[in-house]
Amino acid sequence: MKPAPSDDEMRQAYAVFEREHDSLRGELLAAVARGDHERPRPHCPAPQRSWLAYCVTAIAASLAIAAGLWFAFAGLDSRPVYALEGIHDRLVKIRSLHVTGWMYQTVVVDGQEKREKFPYEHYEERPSRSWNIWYGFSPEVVRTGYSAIDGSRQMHVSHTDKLATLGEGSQLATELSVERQLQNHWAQRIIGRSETDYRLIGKEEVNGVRARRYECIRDADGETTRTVVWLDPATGLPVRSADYVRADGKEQLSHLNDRIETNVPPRPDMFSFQIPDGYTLNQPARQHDNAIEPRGEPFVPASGSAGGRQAAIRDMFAIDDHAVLVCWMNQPRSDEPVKQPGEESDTLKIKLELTGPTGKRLCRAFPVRTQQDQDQVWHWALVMPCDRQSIKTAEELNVVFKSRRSQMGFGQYLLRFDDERLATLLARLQRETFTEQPAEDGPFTLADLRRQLERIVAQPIDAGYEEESP
Amino acid sequence: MEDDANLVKMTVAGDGSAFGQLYDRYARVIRAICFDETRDIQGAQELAQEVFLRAFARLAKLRNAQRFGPWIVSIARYVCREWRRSRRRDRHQYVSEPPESDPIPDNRTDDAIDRLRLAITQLSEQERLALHLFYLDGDSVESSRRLLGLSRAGFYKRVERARRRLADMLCHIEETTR
Repeated sequence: MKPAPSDDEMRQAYAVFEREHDSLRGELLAAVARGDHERPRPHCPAPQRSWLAYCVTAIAASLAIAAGLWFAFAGLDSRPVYALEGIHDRLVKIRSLHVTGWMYQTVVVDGQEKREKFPYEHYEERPSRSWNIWYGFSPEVVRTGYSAIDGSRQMHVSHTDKLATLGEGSQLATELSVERQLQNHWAQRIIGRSETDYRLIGKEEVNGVRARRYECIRDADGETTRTVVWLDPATGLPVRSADYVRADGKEQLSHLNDRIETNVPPRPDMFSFQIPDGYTLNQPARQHDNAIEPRGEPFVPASGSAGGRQAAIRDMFAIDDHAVLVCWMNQPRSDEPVKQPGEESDTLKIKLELTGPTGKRLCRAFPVRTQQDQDQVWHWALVMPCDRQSIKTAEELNVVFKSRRSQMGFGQYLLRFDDERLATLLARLQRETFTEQPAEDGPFTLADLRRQLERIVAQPIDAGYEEESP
Repeated sequence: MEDDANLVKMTVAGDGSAFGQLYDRYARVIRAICFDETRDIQGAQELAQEVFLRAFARLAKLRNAQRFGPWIVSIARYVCREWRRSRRRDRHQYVSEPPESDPIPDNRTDDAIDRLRLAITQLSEQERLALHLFYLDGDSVESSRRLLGLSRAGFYKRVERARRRLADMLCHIEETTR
């Protein structure tokens, strides 16, 4: 019988697990540090490690290691960080996002349905610059062009019509639009909402980065979708993502965000507002004549009408992860006949619900103030979940208006800001986006909202419908 | 030297260097555990990083900080199981460039050491862990008590049994390759 392997042989076999320990340690500690949004730095080359290792004195070496650890952990948040977990929080803190990719659509070509791919490109930069390729799909034609907004100007170019429309921009509207895109739209589009549903499935060289590949499979409404995200472990940010849908028994690629770059400058031509050669210029005289809205109504991301009523929702703001500031409007349309005496009143009921990966949670609204814009009466309110638990990033607030003749529902993810920015936004929104100016005591402030929340939490919250008379 | 419980508490309190110390203490063993699954050192390094990232994410929820060692080993086992399942299911290899091939380890020219390393992966889980601790952990006796629940004598017996089994395996491999 052969003798057992010698101790020396065993140690040789195990020596491989010592390999690259220091660099792996550095990579891990950098990955867990929060607030690090620089472009990935090159792997620390051997000479630098040698420099640390060969420090002149033991004290200097200890100081250098301590300093390195301190810089690696600058801004370390005590909140836990996952490899993919926390990616949404990291995405919402970036300065800019540049995405190029492809989307796959079924179009009719010569009477035949055909699946074609269309290139797209988006650039969003805080506080208020946005550029994107757009498409309009109709049975007859696929229209395309691009839009550019920098807060003070906006340009909408149609390659199909060879037309460029220049107009004034609203800095505040653009700022909110950029935040919607970065905080919600792109986080949703790249990773979906639930980070914890992802599994690590491998590693791959992508866009010059040795990325970790994660996969999430979801079944919803009879459709199976698979999302793959390639994550740069050094920054914790995605470098590529792909969405697949399963249809007719086979899987098809529906979107490919082929190259995702964060904190990069825009291409020089993106915000030059130069009219392309050979295109006709359309320049409305006033902002509200043929005005180009960044993405729909500037401050009203969602609206609708049904059963003689009109309803709309403005941006929703997270207040300390425990409440949501909403601003809603629901009233009879101006062209609706006036209610006749004896006619049954149209009582409005509002249902508020947070929905997310863990299920649904009923909420209750607490009025803050009403404010008028033109002929519309808007209601500011604080919304809190009845279970008083904190509101997760992955949760969306759904507002359902139900009246005798209509039901309209709106759902939005929240916008999150630090206190200073939120306070400024609240003041500006109240002053600049309503025709009615705030009351004599001024706009309500973040401090006012927090005081109100303190009073609210002291009372029990009842779940269920909130009744409001029109 | 701080014990695991203190290092966990310090990490949760925001002391990043404490987590670095936990990493130093357990990373090599975790890599070895991952290698038992991947049979490839780079894959093992990647999985081990994943294990530590997950541990960091969940550290605040660890009820008994003294149990950090067994806890992170259980995370490693879970990550390895996930990796194994995903290898079976991963039918879409979407790549724009061919994946980088694994670099040839320096000591692959030493076939005997290679065979030995692979033979270790074929031992039972308890025997593998005993060997990993013995050769990678600076305080293996104490670690074996925490991770394996073994006394000093029991730990050494298990290591010896594992080495004898390795000898049998390697002998069998040599006979079949002649």
